[in-house]
This record gives sequence, structure tokens and C-alpha cells, in this order.
Amino acid sequence: MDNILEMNQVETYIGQYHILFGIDLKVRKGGATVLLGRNGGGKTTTLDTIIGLRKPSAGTIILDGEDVTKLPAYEMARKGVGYVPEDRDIFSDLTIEENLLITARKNGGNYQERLDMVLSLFPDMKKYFKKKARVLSGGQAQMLSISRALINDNKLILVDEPSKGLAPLIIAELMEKMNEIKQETTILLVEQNYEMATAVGDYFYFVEDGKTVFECTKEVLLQDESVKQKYLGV
Amino acid sequence: MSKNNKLKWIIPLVAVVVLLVIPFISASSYVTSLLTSICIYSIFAISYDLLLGYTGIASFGHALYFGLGAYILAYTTVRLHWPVVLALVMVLVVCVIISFVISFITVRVKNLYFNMVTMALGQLFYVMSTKYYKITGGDDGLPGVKPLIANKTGFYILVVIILAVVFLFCHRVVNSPAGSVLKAIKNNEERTGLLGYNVLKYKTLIIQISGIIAGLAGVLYVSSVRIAYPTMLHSSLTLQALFMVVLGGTGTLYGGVIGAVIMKIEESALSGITTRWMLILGIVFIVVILFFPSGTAGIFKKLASRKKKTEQPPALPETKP
Amino acid sequence: MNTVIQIVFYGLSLSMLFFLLSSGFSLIFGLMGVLNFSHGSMFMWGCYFAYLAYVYTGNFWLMLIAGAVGIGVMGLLMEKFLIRPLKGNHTNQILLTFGLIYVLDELAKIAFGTRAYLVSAPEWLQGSITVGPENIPKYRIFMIIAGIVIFIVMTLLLQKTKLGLIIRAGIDKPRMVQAIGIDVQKVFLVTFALGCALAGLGGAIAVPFMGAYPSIGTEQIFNAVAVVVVGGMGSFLGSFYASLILGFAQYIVSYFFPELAMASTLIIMLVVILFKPNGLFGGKKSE
Repeated sequence: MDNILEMNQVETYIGQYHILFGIDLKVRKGGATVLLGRNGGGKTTTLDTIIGLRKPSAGTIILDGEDVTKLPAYEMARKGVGYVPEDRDIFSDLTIEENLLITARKNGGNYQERLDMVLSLFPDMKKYFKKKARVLSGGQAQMLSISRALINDNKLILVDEPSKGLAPLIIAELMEKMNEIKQETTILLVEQNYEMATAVGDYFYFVEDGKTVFECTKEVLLQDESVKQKYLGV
Repeated sequence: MSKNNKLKWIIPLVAVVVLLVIPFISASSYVTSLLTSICIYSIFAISYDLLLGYTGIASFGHALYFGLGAYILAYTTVRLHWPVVLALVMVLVVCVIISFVISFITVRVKNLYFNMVTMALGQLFYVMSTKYYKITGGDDGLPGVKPLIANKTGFYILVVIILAVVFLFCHRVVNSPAGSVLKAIKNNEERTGLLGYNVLKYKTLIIQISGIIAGLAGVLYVSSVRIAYPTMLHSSLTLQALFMVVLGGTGTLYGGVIGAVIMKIEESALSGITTRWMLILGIVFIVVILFFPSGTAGIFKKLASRKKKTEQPPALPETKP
Repeated sequence: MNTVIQIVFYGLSLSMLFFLLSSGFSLIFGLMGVLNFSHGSMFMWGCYFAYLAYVYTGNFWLMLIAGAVGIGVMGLLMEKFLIRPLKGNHTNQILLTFGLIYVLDELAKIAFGTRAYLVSAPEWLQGSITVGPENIPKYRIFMIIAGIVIFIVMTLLLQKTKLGLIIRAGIDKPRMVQAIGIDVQKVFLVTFALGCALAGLGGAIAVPFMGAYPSIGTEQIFNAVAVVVVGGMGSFLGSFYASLILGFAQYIVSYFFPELAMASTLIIMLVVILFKPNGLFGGKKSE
């Protein structure tokens, strides 16, 4: 089984609005798969659907060989899927420590080991360990959100636009970290920032109007100007 | 005007004609007074539906206007010996002021505050009506109210006409351009605001119209029972309005009328058996909310749409905002 | 001096009564977004459960437990069968809890009639203590202590336990809590029951002080709503401070102008909405 995640013709509604019309994608074990595409194309909804915060109305989602289409979010998390949502969604009333503690699962590996790893990856988290998360800057909040996904030994982490609203210097740091993380944990990344996407990603899907319209390897994306023009408008 | 639209008007028209004719066929004064009370409650329910059904805001103190209308008419005519017209103007003024204060404080923030403020204000006025004996007569109420028309049948006909006018007026309001804005507000308040509509103005307007009509219902009611008493301000009356609207179907106007008919008939049937008919009403209300949240009108609509076999997207669990 | 001592003790005991009444209401609202208008009626049923326990056992502590557990169980059932089926539709939830007020009130009238039942405090809480020139009933002092103890216990629960962490996280980011592997449904159930148990305990503590009668619920929900608005939606600490503000305000006003007591609460509430819609002590954003 080389695919950690497969989505076949997944469709999703939000309320009465049809958002996803047919998402097909495969996330290979190891490395980073990236969803590219314009705003409003359904990338975030795709991640929400995978984690179970939104229920698909059609199609199947397979996690590590198991059908997880109908599972609620908390069960997906327990099966080893970490989520780093677009707005970070850190628990601002809790300390950094509590944010990590509340996320750590019994089946998520040795807490102390994971914690040491996370704190060495993001030294800032160590610095503010006992502080309420609301004091963190945007970049630090993003790091906490990623730390939270790494505190368990997850099979897959879904990361939604980590670069959003951050300064270039911090984005550069984040890119480095993401590249470190993907050595250990499979990443499904949604990213608008082309530089970040190509620096981290190994395989690419293009999502347009709720459908996956094109897929390619990094080499093709970097070399084929027509792909860039057609799907990214650059 | 399409055929469908014409048909739409035939039912209410027939209903009004039938209502007007009944007292001349049946001499029973019981029937007349039951119908009078149904019509008054219908007006009250319509005022509630205007708010809940067309803006999505639930008031938990709607009895406030009803009771104020009743008490003001009673106090000014019985104690102060004002002429009725002046008393009516006073009711209008007070309802406008109260509804303006409520909307001024709450329209800028979440609807939740409207829920809570109306609840609190309603409770306050109820307690005051029982405590300020000198003005309200306390639990004994203010008796001796002269009806607007002394003849029972005459009064009944007046009520039917007012009901028809109120219905027509509200129908106009909700089908006017302002009405479409209201529906848009109910669907998505933020987006409507972004489209450049003054959401606050429309909400304030509808809160006021709804308050005035409810006050009018109170005036008619006190005039028919000839005494104002604290229960007219009690939140159980608000529940009855809510019950009528939810049972009949929100956002339909006629749903309130259907609800009033069902409730009043249930009341008069049950009050012979048990004095605790509010219990039955409460249970039925909860069952309706749980299983038929769109009311009886919704059931008809559902049946109609099933016939058309339109494909509905699957229902999704709502997430917290 | 007399007046000051009296205002301090009586105001404080009224504040604690408000706190016992509203803390569960605020907790449930904060986490689940459910404005449980029937909370006052649960408080009222807490009074009755306590009264029954008092009649059958005569034990003061059992009486308090009966109030808390009885209403806690009622809360469990209510969440499972009435709140959960509405799938987070807040309007329908409010409407339902509003209707429930009358079901609970009418049931109380059927079971107990409309008269007030009195329960006497245990002997060691009868009589009064002399504070300076003033005699303060012992039971008032007990109410103050009880309120403070429950405040401390609840604060420890929220700050130091896993459930507390989850509740605080859930009040802040309800969606994300699910995405980190927590079955939010279960947490809702527990929290709802806990909030109701607090109402029941409040009723049980209040019963020797005010008796048990059916309209307590509709009288008290007014105060609970005011506390939540003034303290900030869903802020536990806020509901404690707001209880103090409203309790003292209501006592002081009623001391000088008895008829304006309720109006004073309403005015404070309206002013807070007008100028500080998030409440005086934070809590959920109100847009």
C-alpha cells in the first residue's frame, strides 16, 4: 500500500451549496502532496471533508486501506490524521503546554519523546510553554498549530495555507521546518504561495471549481510553463 | 397575475366571507366569542410571524406589547376617562417607543441579545403589573373596560375586518422590496449588509410594525374580555404566540391563523377536561419543534414538493458559527 | 455602619444565589451555544427534589445531593433527547427550552400544587451571628460560603482537569476540538448535565431560604439572563463577577426603593449591551 490516502469522486455540500463536484486524489506515503488552485475552488472544503468536519454526499475516502468516508472528525483524528486549519484555531485560553496536552492521544506515541521533538523543532514553543496561547504572534500561532498536529505520531497531517498572513522571513523559516517534518510524516498541503508550494511539495494536484483538474510531479510543474499559465495564471 | 396567484387570494377571501356570515347563521354567542378570540389571537400570531418567520428573530417577550395595549386602553379609559381615540394613540406611541428602545439596543449585536432582552423586559413588565397595585390593580386587574363596539356581533365583525386588513398589510410588507431584503437578512445577514442594504433599518422597522400589531391585538382582546389582568403580560402568552406560529408554519403569515384556530379549539376542548392545558400545549410544542420544525404549513409544502420530485441536497449537520 | 454591614452580608448572599443560579446556565451556553431558558425551571425542580429529600430523610446534606443529582440526571436526559436531536440549530434549541419552561412548571403544579413548601435549615444553621451591631442569619452566611466553595471547585475543575481543558478549548474553538480527536457529543452531554446539576444544587441551597413554589423558575431566569449578559457570554469567571455586581446592585436598590430592584438589573443589562456587548469580563465575541 503506497497510498496513505485516496479520494474517489468525492462530493460535498455546505448547507445547500454544492462545493465539491468530484475530488480524485492519492496521497503517497512519505513526502508532501500539494493542492493548488484559486481561492474558492474547494481546497479547504477538501481538507474539511477528509478530516470529517464535513460529510461527503458521494464518493469514497480511503485512509491507509480502510474506508473512512463516513467517520466523524474525532475518529479520523484517532486514526492518525492531524489537522492544521487555515485559521490556526489554536486554543487561545489554554497555555502552549495545555494546547499540546489536550491534543496528545494515548495511541499517539510516547508523549515525552514527541514533546521533545516538537520543542526542538520549534524552540519558541519552549519559550512560551506556560503562557496562554493568545499572546503568540501570527507565526508562532502557526507553529503551535503545527506542533499540535505533530504531538501525536500521525500517519498524515493536513496543513491549510500555513503561509497565510505571515512575513516573508517567517515563511522561509516555515518552509525549512515543513521540509524537516515531511521526512517523518506525510503531509497534504494546501498552499497559495507558489514558492512555498514548490519548495515543500513533491506531487501536485490542481483543484478548480470543486474538481481535481490536473496532477503532475514537481519536475513537470517547474519545467512546463504552460501548466503554470493554465492553472495558476502566472 | 397568474392563475396560481389568483387562487392564492380565493382561500383567504372565502375565509373572510365565511367568518363574516357565521354569526348570522348561528345565533350561539359561544361560537361568536370563540371566533372573536381566534381572530384576535390570529392577529397576535401574525405579528409574531412577521418577526420570527421573516427575519428569523425570536422574541421571548412579545406578550409585552399585547399586555401594554390592554393595560393602556384599560387604564386610560377606565381610570382617566380618556376618549378611546386618544387611548389608541397612546397605545401606538408606547408600542413604538418600547419597540424602538429594544431594537436600538439589540439590532447592532447578535439576535441572541434580542432574545434575552425581550425575555427580561417581558418578565419585568409582568412583575410590575402584579406589584404596582395603584396603577394596574395588581392580581385583580383593571375591570370595567368598555368594548369598542357594544354589540357582540358588531365587535366580532370589526375584529374580522381588522384581521383581514392586518393580514393584507403584512402580506404587502413581506412581498414588497423591503420584504425581499428581510428574507435576505434571514438567510445571510452579513452578506445582505455587504450588498449595501441598511440591515439595521429594516430590522428596526419590522420589530416596530410587529410590536404595534401585537399592541393592537391586546387592545382588541381587552375590549372583548373587558378586563386587563397580569396574565396578558405573562411569558406564557408569548409561548402561545410562538406555539401558534410554529404549529402553523413560520414565514407564511397564514400559518399563524391556522395555529390560532388549532390552539383555541384545543384550549376550549381541553379546558373542560383539565385546568393544566398549558402542559399539553407545551408538550405538543416541543414535539413539533423536534419532529416538524416547519409546522403544519411545512408538512403541506413537503407533500407538494414531493409530488414534484425535485431533488433535494442531503441535509447536513449544522456547525456552530 | 449598621446599613453597611447589612448590605455587605445580604448583598453577598444574594450575589451567591445569583451565581449558583447562573454559573451552569453560562457554562452550557459558553460551550454549546445553547441558551437554556428552562434553567430557572430546573432550579425550581432542584428546590422540589431537595424538599422531598428533606421530608423523607431529614438530612441537610442528602437534601443538597438530591437537588444536584436529580437535576443532573434531568439534564442528561434533556441533552440526549431534546437538545441533541436539533443538531445545533440554535434558534430551535431556544424555542424548545422556552416551551420546556411551561412543561416543567405545569408538572410542578400538578405534583405539588401552587402553594409554597418551607424547609427549615438544620439546627446548626438556624439563628444568627452578631456582627458588630447587626444580627446576620447563619443561613445567609452559609449561602455565601457555599457560593465561594462552588466557585473554587468549579475553577479548579476548569483549570486543572482534562475535562476542564476540553471545555475551555471547546468554548473557544468548537470545531477544532473535534479535529484533535475529542468526541464533542460526549463532552456536551457531560457539560450539560453538570450545568443542570449546578442549577439543582443552587435550588437545594436556596430552598431553606425561599421555599419551594412553581413560579420560582420564571422569576429567577430573569436574573440568570442578566448575569450572563453582564458577565460576558460563556465566561465562568465573568458570571461570578457579574453575580456580585447584580446581587449588590439589586440589594442596595431594594434597600432604598424596593419596587425598583428588578428594574435596576434590567437597566444594568441594557447599558452593558449598549456599551460593552461582549460583557464586562470578556467571553464569547458578539460580532
